[in-house]
Amino acid sequence: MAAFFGGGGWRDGRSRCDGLRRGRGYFRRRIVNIIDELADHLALAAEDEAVKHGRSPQGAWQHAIERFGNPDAVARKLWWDAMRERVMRDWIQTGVAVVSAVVVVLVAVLVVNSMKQMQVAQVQLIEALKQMNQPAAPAGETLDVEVHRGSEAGPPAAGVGVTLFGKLNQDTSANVSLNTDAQGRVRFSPVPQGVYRLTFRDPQSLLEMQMEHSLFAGVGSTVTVVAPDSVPVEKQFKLESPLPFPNDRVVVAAHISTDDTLIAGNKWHCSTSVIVGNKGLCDAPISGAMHSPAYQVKGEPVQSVRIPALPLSVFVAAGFMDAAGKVATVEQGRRQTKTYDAGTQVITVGLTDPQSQQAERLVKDYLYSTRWLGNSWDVREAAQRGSQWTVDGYLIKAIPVTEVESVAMVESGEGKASLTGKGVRLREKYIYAGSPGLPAIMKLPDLAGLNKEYPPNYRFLVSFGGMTGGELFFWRGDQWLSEPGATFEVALQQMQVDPLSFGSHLFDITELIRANADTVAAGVLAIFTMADEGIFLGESGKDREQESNKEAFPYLLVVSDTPPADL
Amino acid sequence: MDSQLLAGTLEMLVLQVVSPEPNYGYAITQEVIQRSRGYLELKEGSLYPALHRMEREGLLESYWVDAGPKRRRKYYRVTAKGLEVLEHKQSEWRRFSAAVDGVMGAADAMA
Repeated sequence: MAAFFGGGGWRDGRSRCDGLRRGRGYFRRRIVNIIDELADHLALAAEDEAVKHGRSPQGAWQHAIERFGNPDAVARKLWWDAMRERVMRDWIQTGVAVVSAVVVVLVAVLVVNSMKQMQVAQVQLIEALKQMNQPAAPAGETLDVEVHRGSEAGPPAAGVGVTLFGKLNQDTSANVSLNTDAQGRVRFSPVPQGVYRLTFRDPQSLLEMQMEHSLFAGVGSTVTVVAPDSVPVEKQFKLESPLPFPNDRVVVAAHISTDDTLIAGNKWHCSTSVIVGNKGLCDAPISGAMHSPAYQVKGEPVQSVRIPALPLSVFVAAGFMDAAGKVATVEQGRRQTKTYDAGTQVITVGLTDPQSQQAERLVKDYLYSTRWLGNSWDVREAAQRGSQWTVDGYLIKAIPVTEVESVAMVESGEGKASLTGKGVRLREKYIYAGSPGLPAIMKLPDLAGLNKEYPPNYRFLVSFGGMTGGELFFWRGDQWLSEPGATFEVALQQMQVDPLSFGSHLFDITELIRANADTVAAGVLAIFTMADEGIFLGESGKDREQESNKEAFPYLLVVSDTPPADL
Repeated sequence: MDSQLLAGTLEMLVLQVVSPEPNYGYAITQEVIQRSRGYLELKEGSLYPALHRMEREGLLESYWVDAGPKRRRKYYRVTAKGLEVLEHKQSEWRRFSAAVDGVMGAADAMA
């Protein structure tokens, strides 16, 4: 076993392993220990041989080794037994370390690769976003439009207005208007691709037409349109009214729309609005011609209109225009009739339906629209002008409070109070309850005083302003009623309330009350929209005080078919 | 002597020899020869691997003692765990020996 000492090296093994002894490490120490232990054993055995059997040192050693067997093999086995666990543990640790290192390296590689891929993806995403955010490059397409008169083979239609409209993006729209040239052509360029609306307005026929057109990138296109060859006609307006309203004070907003006419696959039509009248500029809009409060039209009143010779639809709204051109709109939709005679080509607008009982409403509307009821200033002014005026035969009288002998107050209790009286609108609860300088509050029967002062054919124009839960209410006997048309006693006489309209707003519930045939007088629930200090009555009376007109309204308006002799 | 019989009792014999006092390999072989009156002779090729294995198993512990110029000697002493194992092996050996004696005595009587 030359690996350790070879041959008889065990004899001086102690000195032979000095080199190993000087070394370091676990393995080296184990080797030295084994050698030392076995060498001591052999030395002891040799010494025993020499002593017991008188052998020479060489012979004793030789005998000891032979008796021992193979010390090299024993030493190798001892070393391996001692080192096996350590070696195996080291191998396992080394293997684990190597595997761990490999795993770490692989993970690192994967992470690096993932980061690189993410970076690449991010760069691609950023580029994509940049491209998305970049405004669409303006395309340079050309859209040519050709307009011919009568047919596609007809002559070019010059002067036709063509409007190109389209949304370029969420915030930008294209809206370009051009007129066709002498060749009936117009060119829009450059035009981005997209869907556009083309509007054609033909000054010759007064008809217009709309169509859609799609423009694709890289493809220019030409649109050919056939314009009507018709000629508009003059149509007269005839304003009719069963009431003797002075025509010079009435204007009508007329919205005229023709039926469609199909020309070369496109629908042409005409739509226009005019003010019908015979005097002055209508500088205030008349609204509601299209049955929509938002619709307004104003301008120079006309008596006729040029329009294509096509079936017509006419919508009108009436208004009253004063000398200064101020127009008050009468509520539309209930008082107008209109006809169109294709033969005479006359548009007839009737302001009222003579079969109905709406004449009084017109009076009310007139008063209301001119704010003689809604504005105490007008009333005061009117009173100063002579205290009375007529509206188509109706006498309107503003009676100053100071001329009123009696005032009646209707008890109401829970803030529903309203008053009646001759020109004074009191609010027991909200306004002048007990205030100095005003007539004393009286009971309902005190309206009989009115009965004594005015002839039986008088009518009192009153306003119902008291609101309970948004409803109009009346006093009848000892209770309040809210239904329209209620019969209630007032001024000791039976009185038929004929409210013509109702509204949620106080200004809209100004009403005319007509007495029955045997009514000699009308004491009224004069809950005026404007009372002393202009305070409204209502459940939110205090709030309304803040927003109402503070001007006094010391008048009672009296309407009569004939002027009372004593007024 | 049958080496297999000796191998089966080698651990017990070593623990028995070193249990009174620490001893080293060569002395252990001599002690066994002396106590067995020359009948049992431990081979070094078996003794030292057994000593080192018993040391790793915690039955023995060792220490070194200088034995002269450039010589040192490794002593083994039994641990508490080694004493428990020794007692267990002694008990087992006595029961085994009695059983063998019993069998062998009956055989002798029959003969």
